[in-house]
Amino acid sequence: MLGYILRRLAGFLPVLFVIVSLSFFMMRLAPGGPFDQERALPDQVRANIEARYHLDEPLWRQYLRYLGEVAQGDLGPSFRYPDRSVNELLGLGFPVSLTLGLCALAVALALGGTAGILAGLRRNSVLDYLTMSVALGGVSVPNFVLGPILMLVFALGLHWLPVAGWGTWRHLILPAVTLGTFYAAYVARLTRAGMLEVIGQDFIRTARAKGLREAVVVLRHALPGAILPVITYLGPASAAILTGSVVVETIFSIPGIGRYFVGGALNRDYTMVLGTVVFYSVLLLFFNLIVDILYAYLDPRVQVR
Amino acid sequence: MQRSIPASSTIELPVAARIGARGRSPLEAAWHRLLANRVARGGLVIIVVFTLMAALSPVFLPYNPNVDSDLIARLKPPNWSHPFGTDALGRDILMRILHGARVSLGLGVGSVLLAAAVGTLLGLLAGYVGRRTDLCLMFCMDILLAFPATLLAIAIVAMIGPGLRNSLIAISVVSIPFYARITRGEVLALKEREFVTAARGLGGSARRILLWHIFPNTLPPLTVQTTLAVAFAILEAAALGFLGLGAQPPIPEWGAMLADSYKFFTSGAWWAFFFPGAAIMLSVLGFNLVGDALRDALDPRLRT
Repeated sequence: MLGYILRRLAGFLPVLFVIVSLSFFMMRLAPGGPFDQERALPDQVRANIEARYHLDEPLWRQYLRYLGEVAQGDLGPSFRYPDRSVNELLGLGFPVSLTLGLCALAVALALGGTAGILAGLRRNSVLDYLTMSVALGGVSVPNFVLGPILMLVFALGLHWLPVAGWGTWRHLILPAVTLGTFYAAYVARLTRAGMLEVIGQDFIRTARAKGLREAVVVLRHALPGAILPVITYLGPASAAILTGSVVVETIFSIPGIGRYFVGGALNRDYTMVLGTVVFYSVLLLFFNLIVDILYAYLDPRVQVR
Repeated sequence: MQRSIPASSTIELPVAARIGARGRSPLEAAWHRLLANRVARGGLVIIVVFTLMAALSPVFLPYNPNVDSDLIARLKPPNWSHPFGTDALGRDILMRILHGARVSLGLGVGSVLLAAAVGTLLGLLAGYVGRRTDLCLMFCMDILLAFPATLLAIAIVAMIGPGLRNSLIAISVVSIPFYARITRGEVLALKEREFVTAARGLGGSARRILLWHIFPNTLPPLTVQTTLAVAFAILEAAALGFLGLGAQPPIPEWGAMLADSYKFFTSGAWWAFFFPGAAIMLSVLGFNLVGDALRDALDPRLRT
């Protein structure tokens, strides 16, 4: 197992190298720069700024410099927030994005899992059709439509929750539900399908024949088998939830990484965009590794090599 | 070996036998299964309506987004002359939604077609040529796949700049690896089948075998993927538009319309937000419904 992990970690390096190089050159070869504004800067000011950020050097020199800095974990200064480094901004934003992401994931699993189990147990019942229709609706509602609607109803209409912002747990509810709904819908469909497959098998009949209570049969015997597809989906889903918070952060004015990322994208803040991409690549690579290990642990038939 | 059939399992054989007896081609059979599905018919109707909107509105209702603003009629609720109300610049929302269909569906369908063409080609190459080509291509695809779609799309737009054409490219790049993977998998399986060996034995060239014998057989799974991918692409395009990274004003794109109106939505002007939102939802729902039903129709074994 340790050998497997080490080999996977060593495999990260070429992948990261390709990602950093590709994004670096794509970004630089595109027209426009971070200091192209409506009002042209005086030549000397411009030259000074470019010298400060080494933008006046040949491209290959900048590339080598960037590679060297990234290798030391330094993602450079942000062009848009001149007194902050990208590392600082990511450090500020990440805990916020992570909290939001984890809550959304919890919403997705709790809501989707429960709905899926109920629908799977009562196949073709009114409940089944109802949950599956809602789930289909859930994968079709974009979060930038759902968010404002929730905001209107629960914050502005009923005054139960704050409209936007960040601080208390009450600020967390609407964004987490907004972000989690899409995945809840997907988890519900996966759990239902898994449940249907497991519930017809012999060991469930045996469990029932032993006279176990239905709750024990469902939760202890059927559920572990039924949620395997959900666990496979969890890896990509968590990654998508973490990074998908971009839109939700914009709607609810949440100071997470997503807002810096979009701000960087709109203002051609090279280092910010590159830094976020590199940061997320590292995070996602580790994520996939953890999911693979977890999967091997849960399903003895899977062998890690 | 004797096996007992559990009482709970249903036997699908009579259905299959009945379809076979009518002498339909597999494609016809799938089409009839699709039309027999009420949900799929609903989805098809939605898609047809939106397609007609996109195709006909420029013909019958010419529109110039640059000269449409009417500052006296700002944020008017729905009435007879503006059935969907007006937005913050006094523009008629119904008109913008009708013409937005062309932009948003165009983005969705266009990016998927581009991705399908490139991805399928890469998949065919990787699967059929194999070896180093396969390794290289799949390494690249895996890197692209490792990124969540939204992040990748935003990153690409950040690199090549915002705008309609660039967001189309970004969404399309995001979808390429799915096509490449699916096609490659199919090709690997089909390559070993007898009819391919037979074609090779008859002296068929690699290109002929690939295009005439293998490619047509990869179409059923690709069709399902394409329908669902359009739904996804419409969502993604609207998200980019909403963030200000996609279509730029005054182009009537649904996501950008939402971004313009959501600050007024919370102060009571619900119509400016509701109608574009509903347009996005309905069109995505339509493609999702048909995609789901197509999967069932093309592969009856998967039916649940």
